[in-house]
Amino acid sequence: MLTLREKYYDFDQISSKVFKCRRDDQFFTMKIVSILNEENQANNGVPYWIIREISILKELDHINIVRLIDVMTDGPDLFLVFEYLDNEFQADFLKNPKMFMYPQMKKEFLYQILNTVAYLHARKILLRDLRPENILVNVRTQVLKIALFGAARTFEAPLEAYSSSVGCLSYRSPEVLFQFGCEKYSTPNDVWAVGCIFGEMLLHRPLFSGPSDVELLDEIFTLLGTPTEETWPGVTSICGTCALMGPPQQPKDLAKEFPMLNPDGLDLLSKMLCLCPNYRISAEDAVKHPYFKGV
Amino acid sequence: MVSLTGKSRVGSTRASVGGGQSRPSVGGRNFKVFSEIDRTKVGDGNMTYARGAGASATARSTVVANKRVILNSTSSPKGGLKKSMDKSSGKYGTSVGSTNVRKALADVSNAQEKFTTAVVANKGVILNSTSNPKGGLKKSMDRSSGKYGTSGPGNTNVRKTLADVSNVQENFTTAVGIASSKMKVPAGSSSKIAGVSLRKSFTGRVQRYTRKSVVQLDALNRDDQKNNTNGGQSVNATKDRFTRKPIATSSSRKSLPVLRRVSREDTSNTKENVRSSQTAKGQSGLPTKATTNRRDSSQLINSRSHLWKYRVSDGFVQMVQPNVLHASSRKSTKPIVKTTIKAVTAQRTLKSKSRLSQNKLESTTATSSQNKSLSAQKNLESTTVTSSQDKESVSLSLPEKSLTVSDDTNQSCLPSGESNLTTNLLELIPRKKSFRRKSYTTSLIEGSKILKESGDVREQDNLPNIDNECNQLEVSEYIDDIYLYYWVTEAHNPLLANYMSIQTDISPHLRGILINWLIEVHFKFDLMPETLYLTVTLLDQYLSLVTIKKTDMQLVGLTALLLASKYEDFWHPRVKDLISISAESYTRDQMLGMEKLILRKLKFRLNAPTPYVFMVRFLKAAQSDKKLEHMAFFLVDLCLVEYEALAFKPSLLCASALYVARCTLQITPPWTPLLHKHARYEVSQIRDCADMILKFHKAAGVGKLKVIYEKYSRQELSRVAAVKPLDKLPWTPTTSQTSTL
Repeated sequence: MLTLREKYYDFDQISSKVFKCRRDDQFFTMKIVSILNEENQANNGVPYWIIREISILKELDHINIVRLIDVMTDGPDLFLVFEYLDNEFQADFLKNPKMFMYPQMKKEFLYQILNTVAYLHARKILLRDLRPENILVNVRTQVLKIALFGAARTFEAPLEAYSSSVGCLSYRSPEVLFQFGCEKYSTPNDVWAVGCIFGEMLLHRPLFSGPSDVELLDEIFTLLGTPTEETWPGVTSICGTCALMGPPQQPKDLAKEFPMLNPDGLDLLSKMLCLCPNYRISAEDAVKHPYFKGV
Repeated sequence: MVSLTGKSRVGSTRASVGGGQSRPSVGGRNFKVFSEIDRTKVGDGNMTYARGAGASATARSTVVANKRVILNSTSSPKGGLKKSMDKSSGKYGTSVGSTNVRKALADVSNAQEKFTTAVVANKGVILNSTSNPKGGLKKSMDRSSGKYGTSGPGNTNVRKTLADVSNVQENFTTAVGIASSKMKVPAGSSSKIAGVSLRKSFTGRVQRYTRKSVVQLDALNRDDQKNNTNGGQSVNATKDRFTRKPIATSSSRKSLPVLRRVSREDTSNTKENVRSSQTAKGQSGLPTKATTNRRDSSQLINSRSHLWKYRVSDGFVQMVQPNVLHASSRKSTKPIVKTTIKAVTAQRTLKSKSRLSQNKLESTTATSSQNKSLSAQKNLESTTVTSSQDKESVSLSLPEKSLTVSDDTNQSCLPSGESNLTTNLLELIPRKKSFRRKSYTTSLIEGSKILKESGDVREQDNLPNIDNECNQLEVSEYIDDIYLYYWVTEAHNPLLANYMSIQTDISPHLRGILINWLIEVHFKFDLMPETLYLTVTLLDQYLSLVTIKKTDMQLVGLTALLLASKYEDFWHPRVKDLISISAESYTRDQMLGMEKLILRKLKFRLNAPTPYVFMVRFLKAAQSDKKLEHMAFFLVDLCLVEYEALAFKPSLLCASALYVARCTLQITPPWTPLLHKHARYEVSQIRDCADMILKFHKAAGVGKLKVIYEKYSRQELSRVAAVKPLDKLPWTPTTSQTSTL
């Protein structure tokens, strides 16, 4: 078995723990993962979440997912070898002005995102932190790539308490915002995030951008109305503090908020941004929505 | 040794009692001895020294009777035992109701099965008492209550029997109450009965203490330290009590502070405890307390032996040593304290298990009761004034017994050091689980919309999923292709049938021994079934790629278990615990290095098509009940330890196991069109594999690798191991034609 440095060479650092390297005529992206960290002080070997996540990534084969090719070990570190994305792929695809040259491109990109989410959900993989920063896009070929490692989790996997102040709040679903430190993530959360990205593509700004949970929920309820037991059965038991609900508000007319969208698009957006997670559309159903006819 | 001891005791009894009527059954003669002595007691009011000697003979005869019962069970069939029981029950009308007679009867009812050797008979007695505690006690109660009239002593004995049953059933809750009510017996009863009541009331209270916090344990220790100053007198008092003198000698110095503290503590508890406190102020309070402490510690030792149920040889050796130490140092109470602390810890952990069922509790209590009498006999022997030769024989018999048991069981277990057993016990007790979490693979395969076309199982699919109710945010309605992935991966993976050809130092037999041991370890750590199947799969996959030495076999097995539990379970054993269970054979660096090596060799692909994922789906297609499910998994588990089974793919093994299970449980038709569709096999395709599985089933309880047989002999797995295997499978042309259609 070849060691790490015998197999790969020409290391070029991209960021603190990400390198570009070469093997024969191919380039790869290598990411270093340290096994010994504050979570693993007792040193019981490779953490369980790394074993699970790598085992999942090894099986994924999808054009819109950055592919994990190899895993090497060297001392206390793991080296994950991913496919290399050249300069044509740019991170944070929403900041690229060429994105909005043709209206059809928005639909195309949304379809790729939903198709990827449906593919992952069929394998019980949750993205959990889906946001534009994790999405790379090649404008020339109109191919979109989602980087998974570090954020993906699977159903029912025991997770550490996820602090609500970490990461971007704009793409959190209301049921997650209601429960501070909630460990229960599921597929509707990812669909909500896709809905936020959809709205952001249309408005050229984040759909919800409050700096805290309370303000974010207020923005959500301002647009979509305050949830009730009729629109969201069980919401009073989920909502631990009634103060988060605020005064009752009526939903706004999405047609006036998104005038550029046709009725099919409005229908899809409203279903993805449904407040009740049980009533929210699934990614599998979303890719079959009439809005994507002709894609 | 047991036989020789019995013979010498029989001679002693005959010389002591005098000429008696000769009978074919030795047990019957001993019961007659009891009745004679009891009649003398009732008739004669004077207490003489000669009658004390008679009581000693009675006590000694009890030991002989118990040993004779064991020997009788080995030499004669069940009819002989029944005959003895009939004779003993016939004596009740003419006797006052001796405690010894009832105890002997309980032993007889517990030892109802045949045993081949004396040593195995001893083990069998304990196992039998654990498997059928309530039945035996109920038989004893029915027989005794039917014979008793309305006299005072008779009622006392009836209540005593009820107290024993209550102790088993209600976890000692009402024992104190019933014991207190015994004080209402008329004044005509003798002080011996009062002594028994006092002893039982203390037993109830101390057992209540052991279930409280450590602070109570400190209080118990302080009481022991008080008794330590009166150690000599306590031992003498105990000795007098065992020789059954009519009046218990009270100690010259009464420990009033101890009694007062007990009284103060009881006032904060229930009224029954207050009543017991009044009872404790009797003259024989202190000697009774000392006796209670010793009895209680021995009972807790026996409770700890339950934890060692599945580690046979070394646990037994460890269990015997405290008793020997206890018998040899009578005048010191420190061993009692240490044993009590350890036993209390073990018992508290035992009770904190969420999976502890009522049957297990009864088994523990019955085992304790059984071993209590055995321990009492040992104490009796150690305190009786006997010759040094008798003492030597007693001390020699214990190591010999344990060595014999060790020799039998070492053949089926991998060796592990004895010095680490105490540490292993405390560290290996698994964590408490509030509810059963789903494993990783179960969450993957759950929620698929299989079988939706068939109307027969649509109703089953529409039933509410209890597991998902606790997570109301989860909405999972995807038609996943995870099973397609399993089928493709299984077809793509090479068969592991001949991987032993690349190995030079290990053998299929060694693999069977290792997996048999890993199944035991898996059970001890209380891991999920999915973890066991993945462990064996990872082990075999690794051994098909890497040639290893024999000394590394156990390391690979334990590391595979670690990886499987990390992947599947919500909790995985610590590396330190796995190292200790291997008797420190490996270092932490070795295990962590092996972990990385296995991961690299398997390319981090742990989502393997194990037998579990196929069996779950096939059982759903079969619309199986619990018993069929357990039988099918039992047969698949039998395939784990057999290298021969690697010639078949996991899906074929599961289909064949399910077919054999349905045939064994007389389910017709054994192969349905729905099973054919989802298992993707016809009956003709599974024939060879099914014949192999039937061969394994016939050899299940006979061979040396018996952990699977014992695992599926438990009640929570429907005792499917006890189901008789078929002589042969019904390969009829009609069945083949039906499946073809």
